[in-house]
Amino acid sequence: MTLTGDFGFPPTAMSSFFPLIPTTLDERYHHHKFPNSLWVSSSGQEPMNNPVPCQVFPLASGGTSSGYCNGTYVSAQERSSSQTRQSVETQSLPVTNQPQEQRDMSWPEDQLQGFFDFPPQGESSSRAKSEWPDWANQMISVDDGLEPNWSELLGDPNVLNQDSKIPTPSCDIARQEIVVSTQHQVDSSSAKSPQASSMTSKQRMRWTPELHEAFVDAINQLGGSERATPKAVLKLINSPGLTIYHVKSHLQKYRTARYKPEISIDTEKPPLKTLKTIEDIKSLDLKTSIEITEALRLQMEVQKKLHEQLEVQRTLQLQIEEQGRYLQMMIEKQQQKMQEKKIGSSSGTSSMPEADTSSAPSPNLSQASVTERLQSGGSSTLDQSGYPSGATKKRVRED
Amino acid sequence: MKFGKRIKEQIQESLPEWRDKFLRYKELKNLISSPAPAESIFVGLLNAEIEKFNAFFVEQEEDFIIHHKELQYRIQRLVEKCGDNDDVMFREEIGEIRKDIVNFHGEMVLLVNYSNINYTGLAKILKKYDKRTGGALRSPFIQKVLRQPFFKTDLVSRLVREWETTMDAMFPALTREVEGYERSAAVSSAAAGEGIFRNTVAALMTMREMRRGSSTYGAYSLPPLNLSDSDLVLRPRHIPSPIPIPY
Repeated sequence: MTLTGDFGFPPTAMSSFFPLIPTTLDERYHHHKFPNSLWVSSSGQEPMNNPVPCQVFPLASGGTSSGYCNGTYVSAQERSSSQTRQSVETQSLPVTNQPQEQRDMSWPEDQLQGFFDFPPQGESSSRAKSEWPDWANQMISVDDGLEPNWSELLGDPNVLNQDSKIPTPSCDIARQEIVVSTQHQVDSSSAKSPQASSMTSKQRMRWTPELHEAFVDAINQLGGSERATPKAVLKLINSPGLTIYHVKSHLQKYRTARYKPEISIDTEKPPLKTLKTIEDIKSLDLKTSIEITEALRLQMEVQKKLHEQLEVQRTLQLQIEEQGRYLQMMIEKQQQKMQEKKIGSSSGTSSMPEADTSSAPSPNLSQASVTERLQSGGSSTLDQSGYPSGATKKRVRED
Repeated sequence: MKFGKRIKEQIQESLPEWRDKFLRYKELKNLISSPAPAESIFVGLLNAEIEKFNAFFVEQEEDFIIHHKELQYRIQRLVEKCGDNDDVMFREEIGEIRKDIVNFHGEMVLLVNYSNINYTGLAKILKKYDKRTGGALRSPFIQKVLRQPFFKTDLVSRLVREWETTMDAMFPALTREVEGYERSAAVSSAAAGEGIFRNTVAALMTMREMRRGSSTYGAYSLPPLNLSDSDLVLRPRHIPSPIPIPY
């Protein structure tokens, strides 16, 4: 099985990198009310990856009450407004355990040893490609600063209030303001917002692979990165919220990135020149290249490990904060009730103070016990669900 | 104090362009220990730091997206050119690409680490502030931080995982013959990734330290770290100095 033959690089390989399995997406969206899962990775199966919110910061101009996703370069916008705009990120919390294994399993067994082998996504990728516009439509916009309903999230991972309310771009930048409302607040912390006194109101653009792909398509249509002009590119991409300045700077980066590797590829000389001249003996050559490969492999393993640990740590940090907030809320509620009771009753009964004091220490205890749970939960997350250490071991063995 | 030292080490080991982009933990700590730490100043500084993180992170992310695509193209071109020839040139080019992939992966992971360590630093400094002033700045402020672009590392993480998957396909299977080279690999790996490898190891060691359990362990502390097989890599307590591989 040759590599070039079966995998037909440009369309399928590309979509195997950015892949999207819209059917599963639809399914999940409609049935389980999951927020739109963007940029699912190359598995052909239920991906359940960290869904990535589309990062565009809301524009103060125009009628859009929240920003449009930069990836929505497909013009059909009527869907996007009705789409949910939740914090997709929060869904990643209960779900992070799973993707690794599933992805591993989705890899076909017929990997050629030692050579490139992109998974023959075959029909799934072609499916993905044809339904791409649909999916692009479904891309939701900014999810910055959405207040996830943490308590619900804890209770039921599938539930994150999925109303398609149009969020109002609230400016909760003032330093200690707590955004108390539930889901659909758009955090305009980096957007242009008049009340962003303590944050610079810069409009920050956040690129996505999809948008970049649109950019590259436009460039190619215009005859290459040298010939294309920012204005023309901007027009071709046709994505609201994208300005010519964004395109300009991106184009510059693009040109720089292309220029460097072009040199090494176009010259027929192998980069490891010295290797060739010193070692003519093929066996020695082989040994060194194996050493290098193993060195790289080792480096990769270390990097992988760090990444896994970072993800775990991040999840834990999020959970800690969320628990803290939840408890805070409970305390406040309880205190409120106490207040009301006190006001309500004319004579303070003896039971009141006891109730007060008993309510005070218990939150602390609860928080401590939460941390304990996290502790044991943390280690069990690592062991039981097989993520990350289990997944790592699996990967290593597959090597 | 431990964190302060750790973040300093990280910064020292980090890629040069990154060094001034990290949280200025020590300065902030000094501000807090001053007799009357003004909240407005403190918050102003924090916000400035956050802006710095956001700007740097988003820019790096953009570069990564571009590079990600370019690397894909390169692989594609190489495969088209060489098919599955086993000639020397192909092997060298694939070696070059493998190196690039690993380094690219490494750099992305380091960006995720950057995000995390800055977040952790912010959380700690806020805790110190509240402790010092008896204020309640931490909780709402950290909520705001959670919504910042630099904290949202999902995209980069996704790319990282994609390349891990690709790598599995691009590297030869571990055979017994190959396993014998592991020892020399450990030595040359320090040079293979140079700054990236050192930085990665430093980051892992930092994490291990941080998760060891502190004297001020409390409700908001992270549980202990569970590194298993990576300990093998971290066992040499010092970071190996780069040794040039005989090319």
